[in-house]
Amino acid sequence: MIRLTLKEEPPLRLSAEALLPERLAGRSAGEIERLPLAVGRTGGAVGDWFRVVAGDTAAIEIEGPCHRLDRIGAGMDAGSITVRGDTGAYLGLGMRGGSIAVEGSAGFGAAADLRGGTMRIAGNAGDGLGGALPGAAAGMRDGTVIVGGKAGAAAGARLRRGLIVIAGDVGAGCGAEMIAGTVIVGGAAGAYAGAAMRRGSVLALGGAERLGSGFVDCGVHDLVFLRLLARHVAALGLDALARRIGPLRRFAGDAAVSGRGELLVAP
Amino acid sequence: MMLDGVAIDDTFAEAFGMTGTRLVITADSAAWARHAAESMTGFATSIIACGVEAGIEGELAPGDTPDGRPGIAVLLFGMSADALGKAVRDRIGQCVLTCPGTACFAGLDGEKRVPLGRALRYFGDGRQAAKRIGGKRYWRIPVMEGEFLCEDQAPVQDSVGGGNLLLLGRSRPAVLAATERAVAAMRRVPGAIMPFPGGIARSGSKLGSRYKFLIASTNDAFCPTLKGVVDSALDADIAAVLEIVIDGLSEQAVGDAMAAGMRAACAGAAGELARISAGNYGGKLGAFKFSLRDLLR
Repeated sequence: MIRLTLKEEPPLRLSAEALLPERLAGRSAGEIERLPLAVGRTGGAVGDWFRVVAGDTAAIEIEGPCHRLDRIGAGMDAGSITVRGDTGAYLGLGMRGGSIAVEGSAGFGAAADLRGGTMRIAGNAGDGLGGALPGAAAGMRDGTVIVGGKAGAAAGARLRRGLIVIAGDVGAGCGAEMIAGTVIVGGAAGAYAGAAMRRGSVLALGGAERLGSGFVDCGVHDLVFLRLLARHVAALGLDALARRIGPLRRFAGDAAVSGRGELLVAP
Repeated sequence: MMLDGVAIDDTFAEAFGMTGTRLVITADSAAWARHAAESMTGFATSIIACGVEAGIEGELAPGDTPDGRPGIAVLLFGMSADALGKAVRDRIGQCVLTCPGTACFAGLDGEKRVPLGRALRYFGDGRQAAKRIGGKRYWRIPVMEGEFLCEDQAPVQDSVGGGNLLLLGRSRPAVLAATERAVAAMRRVPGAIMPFPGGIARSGSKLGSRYKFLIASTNDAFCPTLKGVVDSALDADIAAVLEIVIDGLSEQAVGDAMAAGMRAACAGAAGELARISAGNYGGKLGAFKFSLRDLLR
């Protein structure tokens, strides 16, 4: 494992996208310390900010006051990154494979444009979890994201494929403009979940605050696919959440966009 | 060679390459899963007239099925992946999709696949939905009682069809009892099925006939009523012959089933079962040869 310890909290936001397992492979601690890493418009090197202990390059551990570290794991293909604290914005942006584990909370846009791999955030996630980059037609396109706490607004917006599981509550607009895929919310979903969704499923196991007028109540159903989903969620280590996936009330929509998606809400 | 007083002929069963798949049918109860499985594997005794050979492999406990409900594993065999795919589509569409509470899953792993839900999804008339869970794709098709869930595709694999045993007895009841014992033992072998009614065929066939339109006809050499009339393979004391046909996902499965069947048939035969033989075409047609004596060694 390569251990990167932040020496002090950076005064500006620090883009950590260079610190990927595949980019650090085969480098000594000294070589890693000499890699360029800018803060704002100021040039610098990794060693200016991190103490580096080299080791197995398939795994990186980042510790220290990391909440101003943006783009950790951006574009990652393989390996693992563990963050022992909070992270900044765009955690795992465009990540294609491997795994990221955050012991704290993540900022805005975690898992945005995700293409594959697994992300686990033990704390909370900010707005735009698994969302789309500005102007992009689709957000997260594959992979699995698990949030142990709450998530902000627009989680899973324009989700194209993949699974997002949030153990706690989510803010407004969860699954807005969804194209496909699945979002599971263990807590309550904020207002207008699934607004303008075309396909896909949003499960709100703690209820949904206010649904858009384009959703039609189809009644309570015990659907076989939910059994498979529950087993998959249990296999991800979320047994308590999996046990709550059972018969749910199905709201089909969003009719405002001739959508064929669904909100599945605790009856 | 004698086994518990039963002569084992120095011969072999000649079997052929087929394409096979395993499907898992689940339902709210084992009874309803079995209704669907029995319907789906009906009229699937011989490739000659049925297009596919199929049977129930076994019952699955809820813990062994993808959705945690009771299930039945069925095996289906065709002469090609295309032929098998069409038969699977039609049989699921008519016998599983229609059956209350059922869902249908692939039971093998592999790259070569035939369509399942992707061929049936159009029944949803545009209201069907795909759902990817754990790397597998499923189709949710709305039906009058809720949804029919069906895996997108099913892997197929090279398989073996036409393994067989001929059991020759001194009375019809005795040979039937021995053959029933054999089938019961063979059903415990995973990866193999006996596609005929109750696992047993009384009308073994030979290739060709005196009629141009008929490609197979009665195996007259083993018909007891024709002893002395044709070039019979039966001794004077043989009163009846029954056949067990075996299809398997592998050569090993067919061989294991044949060995288990012979041992069970001979055990307690008490002199009523005289011989066990097998059907072949001189070794010229089939890619697989199962020597009866080698299987028992």
